[in-house]
Amino acid sequence: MSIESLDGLAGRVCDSQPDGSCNLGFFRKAGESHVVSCGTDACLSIRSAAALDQKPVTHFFTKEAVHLTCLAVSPTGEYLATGDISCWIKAYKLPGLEFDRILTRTSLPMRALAFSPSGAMLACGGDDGNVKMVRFQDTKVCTTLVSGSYIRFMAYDPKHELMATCSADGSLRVWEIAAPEKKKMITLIRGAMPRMSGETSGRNPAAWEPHRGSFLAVAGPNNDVTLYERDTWKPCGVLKGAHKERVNAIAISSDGTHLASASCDRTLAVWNLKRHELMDSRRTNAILSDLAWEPDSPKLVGIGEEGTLYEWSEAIPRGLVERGGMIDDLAAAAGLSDDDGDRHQDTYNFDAGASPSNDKRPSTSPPRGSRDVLRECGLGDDSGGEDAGSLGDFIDNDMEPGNSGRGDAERAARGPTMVSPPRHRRAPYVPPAMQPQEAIQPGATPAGQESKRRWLAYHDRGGINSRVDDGGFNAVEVVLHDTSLSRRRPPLFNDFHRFEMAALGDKGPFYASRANSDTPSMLNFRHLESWAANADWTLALPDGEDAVAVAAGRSFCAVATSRDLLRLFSPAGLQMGVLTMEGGIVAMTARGHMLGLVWHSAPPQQQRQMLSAAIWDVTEQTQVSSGRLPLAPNATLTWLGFTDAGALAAYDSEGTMLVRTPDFGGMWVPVFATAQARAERESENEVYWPVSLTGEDLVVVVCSEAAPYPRVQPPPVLSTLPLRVPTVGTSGESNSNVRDPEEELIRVGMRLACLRSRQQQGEEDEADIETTEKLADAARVKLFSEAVRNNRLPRALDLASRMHTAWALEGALKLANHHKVPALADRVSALLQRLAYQLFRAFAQPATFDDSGRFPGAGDLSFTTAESLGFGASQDLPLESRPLLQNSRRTGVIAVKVGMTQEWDQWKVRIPLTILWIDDCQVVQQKTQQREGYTALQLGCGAKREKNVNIAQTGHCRAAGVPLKRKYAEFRVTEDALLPVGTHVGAAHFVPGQYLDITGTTIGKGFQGVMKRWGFSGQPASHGNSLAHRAAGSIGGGQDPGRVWKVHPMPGRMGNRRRTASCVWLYKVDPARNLLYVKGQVPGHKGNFLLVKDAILKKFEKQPPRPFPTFIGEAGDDIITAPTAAQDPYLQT
Amino acid sequence: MAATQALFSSYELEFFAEDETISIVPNFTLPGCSDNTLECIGGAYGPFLPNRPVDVPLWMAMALHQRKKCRILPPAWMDIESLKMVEELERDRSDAFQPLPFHYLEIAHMLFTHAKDTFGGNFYKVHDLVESVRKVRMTKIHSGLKSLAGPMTVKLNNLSAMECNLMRGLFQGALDRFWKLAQLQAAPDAGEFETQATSSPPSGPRRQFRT
Repeated sequence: MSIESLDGLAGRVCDSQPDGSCNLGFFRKAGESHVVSCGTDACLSIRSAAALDQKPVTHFFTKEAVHLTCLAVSPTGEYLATGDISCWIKAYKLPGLEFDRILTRTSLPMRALAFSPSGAMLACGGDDGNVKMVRFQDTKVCTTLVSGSYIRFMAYDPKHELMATCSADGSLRVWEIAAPEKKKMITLIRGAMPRMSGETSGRNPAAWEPHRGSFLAVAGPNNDVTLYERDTWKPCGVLKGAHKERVNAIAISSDGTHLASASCDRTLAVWNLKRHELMDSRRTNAILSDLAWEPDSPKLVGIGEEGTLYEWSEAIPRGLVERGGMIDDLAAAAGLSDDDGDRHQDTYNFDAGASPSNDKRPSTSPPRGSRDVLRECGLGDDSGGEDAGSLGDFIDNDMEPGNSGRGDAERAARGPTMVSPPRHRRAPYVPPAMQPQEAIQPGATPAGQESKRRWLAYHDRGGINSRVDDGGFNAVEVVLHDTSLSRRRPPLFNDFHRFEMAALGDKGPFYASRANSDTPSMLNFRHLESWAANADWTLALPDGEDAVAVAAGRSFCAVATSRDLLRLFSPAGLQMGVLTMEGGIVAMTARGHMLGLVWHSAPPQQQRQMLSAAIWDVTEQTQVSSGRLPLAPNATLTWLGFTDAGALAAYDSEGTMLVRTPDFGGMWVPVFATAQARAERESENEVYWPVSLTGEDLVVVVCSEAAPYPRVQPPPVLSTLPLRVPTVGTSGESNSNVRDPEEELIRVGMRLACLRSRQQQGEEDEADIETTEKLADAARVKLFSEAVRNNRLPRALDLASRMHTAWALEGALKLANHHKVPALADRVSALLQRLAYQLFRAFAQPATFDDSGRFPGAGDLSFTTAESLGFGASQDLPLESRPLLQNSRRTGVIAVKVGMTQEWDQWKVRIPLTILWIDDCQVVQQKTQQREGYTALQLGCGAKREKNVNIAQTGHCRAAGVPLKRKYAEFRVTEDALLPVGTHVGAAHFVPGQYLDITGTTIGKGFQGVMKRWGFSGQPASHGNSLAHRAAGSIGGGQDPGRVWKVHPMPGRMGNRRRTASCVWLYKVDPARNLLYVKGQVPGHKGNFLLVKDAILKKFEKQPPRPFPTFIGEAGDDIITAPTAAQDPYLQT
Repeated sequence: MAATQALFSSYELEFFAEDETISIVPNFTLPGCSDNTLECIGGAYGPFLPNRPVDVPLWMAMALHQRKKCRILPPAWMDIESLKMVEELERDRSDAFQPLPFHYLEIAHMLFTHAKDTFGGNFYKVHDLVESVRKVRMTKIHSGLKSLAGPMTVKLNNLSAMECNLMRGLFQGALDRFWKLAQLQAAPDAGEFETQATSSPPSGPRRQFRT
């Protein structure tokens, strides 16, 4: 650098101090503000604050010509204290900069100086970790605060009671210093600030509220400014959102209403301290190392690390200053925004690409109120001094080629653009338009952390880390969490492509590198295990195409490229597809055959990223689901993954985890909020870095705000955090350790929906769903119990009606009985009964016995009258919802005996079967208690031509509105089983597995002897017997009783009598053809009519649940067979 | 007299310490076991899931570590920062001992000898810190013993098993001696003292001593 540059304010002269930091301070002399600055060039400069771009008023090289590290101006403006790299603390007189005295010397360089509010004391702190407090008058070191770490900043409380010291390790200490002998550390907040290494000279700035010191503003660990309340030392405000890197300088305006912060990402922001909100921000070319407000003025001056001064003459809008900062921004702007609304867009476009020519305003629009310029008063403005105009002018001319005396090299070094476009007047603060977010790789940590190692991918299965090696390559290591997954340990390899992205698939890791000028973007897949030697493959993407995200599943690898293409490969390297995406891919994740994708479906609107998400089945080449991914305003996607149920989950920068549920056509449910988890864990600075999701927990690596990413060494440890859907707490128990069952119910319901939708694709097995259903019902039983305890019966019944398993309903029934709520118990048992029948309907198979040999739900119906259910009389209910009670008696049917056949069941056991045909059986007449004195139904069956029916019967049928029937029969029923006249009763009235009583007329055999008729043995064929071979023999006693007993079996007419076969097992039901297949024989000829009823001898609970009062609706075509033996009956055990 | 009767060897103490729990990060699953837990006589341990920390007794941690089936997480008190703080406080406060695990020396010894990789690059730092904490405490015990004169109440909270063990023999002997001396004072007859000294255990009143 040439020597002219030393005429600049504080230019860098020594290239051996690349991280030089510069400092500045204001002082007032003769009513005019001056700025004094120092830097690495060992030079102190004083400029008039009103003309910063002019030559310095005073320019002074220190004698030793060493790097000045810090500077402080005494409150009176009389003295200046400096600290330099050779550890001297010196005082100079202002404004002439005459050397006054040496204040002290330290062992290591000082990094911060601070005058006490009265100016009597000077505090010096630096690399030795001590704060020396020197009395200015006699340079006596009054006291030393041992702070223990590299001190990077100090701030005197305006009341001179406290002092805050900030260390490079991120800790903030506040000392009581009212009396030197009573110094005491009041508080120590570790991690209050970002941690940095002791070698760098970056700052951890702090500033007190200037009037009373009611709070302390420090650079927070999360790229923010944190405000700590005095005395409690609790954060009372966080100013965040403007910076992307740590805050390097803070200044509070002298009226205490505004705070300016400058960050390492080269942004400068002004905040309103009353409302804790961002007012405006600017971008600078250099990192600002110090900031200062001109006293009682809206002017902000900053100094860059390379020595450039930046001036922002109206950092606080003028109106706000005049009116004491009380006016709302918007109100102030409302009256002004009449003419240049179209300019706002340009106004906030601070992109590096904005060229100076764009900044030229049209000449028709004269500059008005134009002091609001962020100006850069760079090196060597001396030659351009005459045309540098008044402060009211824009200094665009500063950038015009040839206008200044600067050389080309200097201009090149300074960067291509001017920082600020012109602005007419202050408009309401509009946040800069949101950019579409960059692609992310889930589970990757960013490069350039303190260590050279980073995670390329970290999943629940394993991780891939990469270490930057000096030899021009990276060392990449694959770590499997479960070492038994791979027989051999994946070898460490040297990566000459410098892979930037990786994903660990089931078959092996998949890597991608970015293109640079020499090499294209490379893809690489390595098998964990392979039967062949050369299974791994490497591919180069075409020129101009760059990989942005990768994913690897069981059967595929996917790479998204900068041309919005999605390329799919098989693990063997076969190209399976090249697809064009709607927008740039943001993230991809894989699980099994599933690929989850998130892409930009539109440019961001209203501060929201417009993202779409989809799940594809790559082997089937189908889309499983797709839809919008709604992120909160200003949030970006930071992680994407699958839950263990196969739902897509997304984590955003606001700390919310969203999981997609197939319900409502695919919606996203918030299942986790970082803020809540922090509150529950009582740790405010934790950052959760998600790794995977189970049904109940989020598996994370817990990091701190200072280091928000897991490190490679020591290996990260996973923790589980409970998922919590933000339900409204109803139970009244605010105990956060106990999970709200209602919340659990929603979560399990989500999981169930997800499993069910996957089951439809044939992915999930039944057992998983059953377990989940049980979980849901367990939660319902919990809630049920709570509701019953609190006597909230409708809520309890609502819960019971949603239970899916008989097991849960039985539990509910027990609870209801236990709490002695019979009304509820009866309703629950009715539900139970209905459920058992629903199960039969839903799965078209009869209910099976449980372990105790009973049908589920059939055993607990202890009540016997319909009224006891509390429904009122059962006959008042609609037919569909009447419960089958223990003493209910359903109607029977009239059937025609068709004949016999046989079938073999699954164990090849022959079952002889009789087929019964229910031929158009209909209710013809109801007999009621009121009219007939008993309740019964008359049913008719078959059909008869009218000419064959007598008038009386015709009239009977006509009155009932049913067709003429061939055969009529009456069945006694209970009142609740009465059916309306005309109801068809078909084969579906009966349930396979149930037992029937079948009544009919047996086949007539004519006059038969006792051997056939009664089964007598007959008499011997020989031994003198004659003519009495089939005779009965004795039929009675002798004189006593002197007669034959009345019931004595004798020869006579056999058969042709009404007989009932009881408890005949119903094997099969064919509802379409109205056929019943019963096991064994039934009375009568083929073609005879039979009366078929529920078996009266079978116990209620031994019968499966049956439709009551009859089957209503369409029965369908399914032939339903009773379950047979669970085990092979022929199996020899 | 009774100096050695209740002393444990350091191996015995180490054996007792093996029941202390410690966090490990397993790198295996137990597919055959329900819920990935191990049912042992002393209770069920687990679930063992890859890369999920789980608390197990030290003996199990050691056995798994030996088979390269887990990574042991250093206990919280073996963090460098907290050890430094403990050391500092031990030095600062001469009247009290810092609360450390009862078996801290045994745990540290076992980890240092059999599971060095627990500490990664910090092994020597942690080792030195534990060593210096031990020394500081030992010095305090010794200096405390020096000041021990005559019958008095000695308060030694937070003493670890190993340290107790070290002092036990001395204390027993010393206290017995004190008692005898007190007896001597009570009964100036020397001959009587001799006969009492040989008879053990002493059956006289022990109200002067509260140990």
